[in-house]
Amino acid sequence: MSGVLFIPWLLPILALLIGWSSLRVLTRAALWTPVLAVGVVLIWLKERFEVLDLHWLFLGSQIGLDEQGAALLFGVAMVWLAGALLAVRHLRARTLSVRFFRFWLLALSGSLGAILALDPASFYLFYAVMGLSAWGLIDYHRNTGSRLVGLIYLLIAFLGEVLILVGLLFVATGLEPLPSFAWIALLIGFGLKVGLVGLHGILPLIYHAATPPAAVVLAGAMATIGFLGWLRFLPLGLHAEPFWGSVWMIAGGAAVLIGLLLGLTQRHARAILGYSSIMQYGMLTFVVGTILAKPALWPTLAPLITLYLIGHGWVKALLMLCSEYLQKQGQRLYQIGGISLAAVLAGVPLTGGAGAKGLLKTPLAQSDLSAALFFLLAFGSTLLMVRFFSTIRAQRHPGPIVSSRGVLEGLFWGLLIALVLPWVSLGAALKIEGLYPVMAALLLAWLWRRTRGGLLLAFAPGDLTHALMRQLQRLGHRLKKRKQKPPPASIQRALPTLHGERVEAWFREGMIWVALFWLVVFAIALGG
Amino acid sequence: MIASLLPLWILLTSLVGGLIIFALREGAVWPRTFVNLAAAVVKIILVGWMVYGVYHGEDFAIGYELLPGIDLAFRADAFSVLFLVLSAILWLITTIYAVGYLEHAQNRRRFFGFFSLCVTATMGIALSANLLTFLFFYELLTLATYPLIAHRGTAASQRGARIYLAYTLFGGALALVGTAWLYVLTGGVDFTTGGALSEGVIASHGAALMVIFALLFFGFGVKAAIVPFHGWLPVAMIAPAPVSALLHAVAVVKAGAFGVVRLVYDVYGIVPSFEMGLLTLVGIVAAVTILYGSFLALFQDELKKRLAYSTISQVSYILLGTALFGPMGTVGGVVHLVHQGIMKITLFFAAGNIAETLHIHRISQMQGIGRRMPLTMAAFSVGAFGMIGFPLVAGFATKWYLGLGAIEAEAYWVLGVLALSTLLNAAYFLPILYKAWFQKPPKGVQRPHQGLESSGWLLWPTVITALLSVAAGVFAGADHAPVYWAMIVARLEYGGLL
Repeated sequence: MSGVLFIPWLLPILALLIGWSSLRVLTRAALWTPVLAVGVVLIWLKERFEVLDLHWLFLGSQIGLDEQGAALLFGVAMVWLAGALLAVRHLRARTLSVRFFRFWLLALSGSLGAILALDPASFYLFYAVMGLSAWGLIDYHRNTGSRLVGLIYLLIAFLGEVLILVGLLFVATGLEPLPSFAWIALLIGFGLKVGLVGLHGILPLIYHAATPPAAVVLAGAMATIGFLGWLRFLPLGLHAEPFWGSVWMIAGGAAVLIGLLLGLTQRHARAILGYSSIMQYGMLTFVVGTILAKPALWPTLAPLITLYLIGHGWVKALLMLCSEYLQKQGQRLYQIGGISLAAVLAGVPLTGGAGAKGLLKTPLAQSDLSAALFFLLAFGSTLLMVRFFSTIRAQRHPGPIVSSRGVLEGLFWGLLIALVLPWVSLGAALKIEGLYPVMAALLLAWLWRRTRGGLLLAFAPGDLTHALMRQLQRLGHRLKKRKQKPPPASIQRALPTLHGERVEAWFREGMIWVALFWLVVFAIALGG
Repeated sequence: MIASLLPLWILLTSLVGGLIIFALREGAVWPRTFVNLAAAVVKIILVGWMVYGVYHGEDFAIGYELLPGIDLAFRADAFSVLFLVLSAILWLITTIYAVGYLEHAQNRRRFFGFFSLCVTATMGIALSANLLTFLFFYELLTLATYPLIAHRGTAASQRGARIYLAYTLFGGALALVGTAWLYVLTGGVDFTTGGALSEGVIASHGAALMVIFALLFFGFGVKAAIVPFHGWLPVAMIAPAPVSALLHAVAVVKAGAFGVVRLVYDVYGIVPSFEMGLLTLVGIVAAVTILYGSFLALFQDELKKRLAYSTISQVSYILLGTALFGPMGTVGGVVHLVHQGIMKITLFFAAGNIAETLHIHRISQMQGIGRRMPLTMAAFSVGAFGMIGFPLVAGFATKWYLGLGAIEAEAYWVLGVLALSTLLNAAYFLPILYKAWFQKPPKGVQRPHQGLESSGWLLWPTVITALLSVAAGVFAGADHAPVYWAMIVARLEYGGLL
């Protein structure tokens, strides 16, 4: 029966090879693969599979499903299904691109395969396939702006993959304890997928630049796989690593803070969702740090982190969908949907968000720091959601009214209900404290609106990474000895206009500070 | 009797084939092609027989005394088999390619004659049982390759061939001095698993042995294009594409790398090499070559030149693996002998096909080439991704085992070298792919003709080697994959230590 484990990753590849230029085959495969993946999970529920030991494949692959994998496979497949449904619909209006679906299938195969791969080499394979083919989803429009974003994404993705390779090599040798070299490689390598401070800007940048269906899977599925890398390959629950625990905790805490502060400078809906992701992954990074310091927590927390990852993936995917609907007029029903999603993200009591956070919080209860961070997370998420909705309101443009009946809409409401309803019965979701940070944030937003309104600062999506991208562009011009051309309209639109030059100067300095910060952390790490 | 003479038969197939070709008239195209292909096929069958024998523990050894104490001797072990299989298969494929490539060229008799001699020399190198036999074929290879590089007869190609000859004769001289000195000290060096030097010799002649090692290492290193002896390789690019392909994948650079591996494992022995600190020398030279070659590749606009610098860098992976003390490093280095061969030959076949069909030699002219020659560019992309070390293609298995070897040897700096070279490889290969696949071709340019994108003689060999590269990557863990044989080699060399 374990033969069905081939389906989720092999089917898209076969479809790609067979239907190379047949859009029909490609879109069918994009739609049916996630459905079949869910089928695999259902079969697994009935009868647990054995791990497939494929010594002849790659460097000796082990393909299997454990509890964590089954849950993630289900969660991630749902996101891919929603994305594919949106892609089929969204791209039909434009030049429906065969190229887009080729990359889509590769990325799909990579991300589902990474969940099933249990050995480091195969995981790396699938992860790399996913990471590189995502480039084709990001650089879909192929104008100057998207090409630049694609380039910076590729650079960062390659850097990440090389570091992951180094880290996984250490994991593969089973060396204990892991040397500092390996820890740093794993921290940065996977960190780059989930918004590690410094190059965190890549998340909002690509969410903003990608087409809506691509943004759905980037935010809902691929970042999740990045985080899975830590869960799979860090020595969690084995022995205490207080030092590296604190490095992860610092990285996580910094991400929560940075995500909030910089998220509030944004004027584009999907970029704001990117900053929100930085905050959420920051919180989970902090939790991983705690586990590294206190390995006894791992058995309790492992399923909860998985749950949180899936929930977060769904919320982000649905918010991406929602932002599409809400930018068209007359979508009252989706306003309710959007606000419910925001409530889940902020952890308002009675929702899945409160449930997941509550469950996660309980084992960490002794730590004041984690309590403060959870408060900040809820507070910040609420502020970002307020910002998200006011941005959408400002960007609303007339368009055809989308039908509220269809498979995609059914999936939307189904997942939304799953995120909200079943949690009502859960004790953790009922605690009234969950409401305090939300109320505080709403109050602050209201006061701000009454007194001053507007943004203090407006940054381009991706802040530091955006500045880095501009520098690269300049460097490219200089190398080609071209005259400095004014940046094309597609970039100019995304640039800070309020404080143009000054803001860029800040960023240049900001990069130096961030670099110094990590240098100090790693210097201590290598020295200790 | 026939079986025990197998090494000889393998040598003779291409030698006799070459002599027959020299005897044929220039205009006798089909008889020549028949002899070429027949010899190549017979050789593959014989090599297959030998593989079967070696795998089942048969010992193919044969020797003739030339002078007292000086033998011309042949022997097949797992390492020679690996090199033999690579050479035999790629010889057949390259011959097919060359027949198509030189369809309208002059002096084909001379070309294919020396081509066969070149392969004979390579087979001799693989089968040599002692250092002197090795050196004999090593020099034969130098001489047989010269007319191939100079084949076109232009001023540039004669210059390229002269530079090649100057470098390799210098390397040969170093190796000859080293060999003679070693023979004087020891009385004879048979390649022996675990090392041919007795403990007494090592104890009494430590300093001399180090100098000899340096002589032999740099002597073989010239052909392996290590820095600072790499200068001939980019210049030799002037040769016709099938020659470049064979030069970079099987014959010349591989002969150098093969020599270094033999030197470390079967002359000095891995443990004495490690204890005498010789591996450090090899490791540092390899690391510098890897990074320097990749770095220089970034600046080349001529496609074949960029590939040449890439070869400089990639061949040193073999040396790097040799320098890592531990079986995993050995696997990585030895397997790259095969992996680099099939990937690099794909790249050169593709580059040659593009040059022949579209007359495009520069990367800056390659916009939209993917649309005009999709299969060729697909094959090129496979090779490029393999060189970068993308999983699914053979190159990844190499990098993985080299990485494991680095950790095993606790040489973490090697991981840095691997990571940096991966990034550099991506930096000089991905722009080519982007140009070819995602940029629009210049206006008014159409696909060359209806039907097949180019001559099938040039296209199918390219596609086949690309498929081999993918197969070696996807099924790296399978029985009898290159990695499997590399593991056999490593197990033998570290037999007493594991």
